[in-house]
Amino acid sequence: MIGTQQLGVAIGDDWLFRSLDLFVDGGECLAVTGKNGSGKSTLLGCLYGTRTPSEGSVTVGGDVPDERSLGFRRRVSVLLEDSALFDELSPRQHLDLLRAFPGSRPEPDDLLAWASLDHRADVPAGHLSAGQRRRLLLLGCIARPHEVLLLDEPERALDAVGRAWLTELVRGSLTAGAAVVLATHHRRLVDAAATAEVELS
Amino acid sequence: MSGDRVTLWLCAMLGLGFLSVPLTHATELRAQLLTAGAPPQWAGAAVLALSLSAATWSLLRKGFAWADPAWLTWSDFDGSRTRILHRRLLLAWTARLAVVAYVCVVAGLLLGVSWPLAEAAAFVLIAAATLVAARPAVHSGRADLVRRFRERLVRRTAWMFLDPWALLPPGRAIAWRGLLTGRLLLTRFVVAGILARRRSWPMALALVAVVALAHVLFPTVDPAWWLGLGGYAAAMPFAGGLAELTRSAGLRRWVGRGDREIRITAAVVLVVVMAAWAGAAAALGVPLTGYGALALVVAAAAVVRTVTRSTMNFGDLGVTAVAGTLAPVGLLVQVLHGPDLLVICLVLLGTGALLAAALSLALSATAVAGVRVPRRG
Repeated sequence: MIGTQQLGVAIGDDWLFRSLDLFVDGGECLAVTGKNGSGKSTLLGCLYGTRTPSEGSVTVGGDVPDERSLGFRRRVSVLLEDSALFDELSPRQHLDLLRAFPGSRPEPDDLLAWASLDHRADVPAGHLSAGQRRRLLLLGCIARPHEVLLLDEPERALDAVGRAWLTELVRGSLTAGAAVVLATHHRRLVDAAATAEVELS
Repeated sequence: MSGDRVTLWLCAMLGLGFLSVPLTHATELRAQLLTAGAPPQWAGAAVLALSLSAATWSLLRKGFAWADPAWLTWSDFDGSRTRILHRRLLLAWTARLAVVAYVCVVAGLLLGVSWPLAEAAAFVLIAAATLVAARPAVHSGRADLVRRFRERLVRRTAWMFLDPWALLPPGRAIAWRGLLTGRLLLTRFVVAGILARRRSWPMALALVAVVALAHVLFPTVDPAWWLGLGGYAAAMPFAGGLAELTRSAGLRRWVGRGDREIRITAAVVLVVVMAAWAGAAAALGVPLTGYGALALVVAAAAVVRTVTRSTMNFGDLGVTAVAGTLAPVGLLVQVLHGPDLLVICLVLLGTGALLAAALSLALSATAVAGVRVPRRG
């Protein structure tokens, strides 16, 4: 599903990572760990087509990643650093908006209750707390059909209960057959959900 | 003198030269813009009322009452805060009065109207009342001053990087639970973006009055021009949602539809909004001809083209010799991406030829559909 060959990204004269050969199939979860600045977000950018590798190649579902392609966006769900919410729309309206993606999806009310956002379902996203916004962004990733799930530090801003919920969310996506790549510092999530781990240094 | 300062002086000189044209060539302009008949008696009063309203509204937004948080801390010790904010208020008030006075003088010269005592007295009274009404802002609290400082910073940055479309109004919550349920989801989403910017309706209605007045004052100008220009300005804030979507990849990922489909839907919805706006203009006496209706379609396409332009590429200045002067043509082309379509199509429509109208529609459709010539290499 996701494959890289001799992938490398250089910043100036220094290599963030190099000669990276990865393969993640449907139902598998790769955890990318490492210190701040080790290149985790950059690697996810390469997998989503927002970052051009300095060397090597990447394929996702047999194609070169390209976020500008509607077909690619429909197959790949992401939570990246630039993920955002419409401040004027409520969590319910956000999930309603995902009906534009083809395929079946759970009821928004069920999803919001599962994410403990049911009591904030009709509040504008601009008025949600950082943790609630994070939950809504994560819901947005899995509330529509997807073959690939890329998550960049999904645990950020989540409390202990939220982190346990995040593990459930990743497992649910794996059960549905998605290939998942996580860049994370959350050891429990890695232990509970990852089928493989790459540590960048 | 630094290069920036020289450019600023050059722009100021050019601006002054441009503004002096109506004062020095009033007779020629009158012949071009007005028919032989005299304008209605109320024309002068209407110009005064509209320009004073705009100045008052602008001052009461309290943009002058800002403070850098770092400076604010020290100003509390030396007591300079109120004095400096008061000075800024007077400067802002005087600048606006100067603009209103200029507009009235030009209107007087062009329309041949004199300013009777009653209107001059109204001018003074309203100007004084505006100053009194704006004065409490001088005593704004720290939070308000810092908020306006940040807003000002955003405005300055947007203008400095030639990106005024970053200043389009953000949306406000829409308490309509079923807004995005049911059929025609994309249309509903675009309509939601317009409803979220409902605060811009008063400005759109004020532009109806401006267009109606412009038509009365300058009857020789084709009403299609007023409808096109006015519709473009009125609809621009409502395209803020589309602009946000274009700028933010993170927001774009929520909408599982293609860019072209989104642009076409936005253009169609904007045409409907503009039709309602033009209906109000027609009610005030602006004739809605076939070419006027086409001007609205063109304006909607120009709005979509404007807010979906790529971010500015300052590596593509395209400095070219134009009439013996080096001009950043590449930069100008980027800045005018959107308004260019409006002006070109209005000129074409102004010819009155059927072929020109068809060409305008074709250009607008191409702009909305986003057909681009592939780059070489």
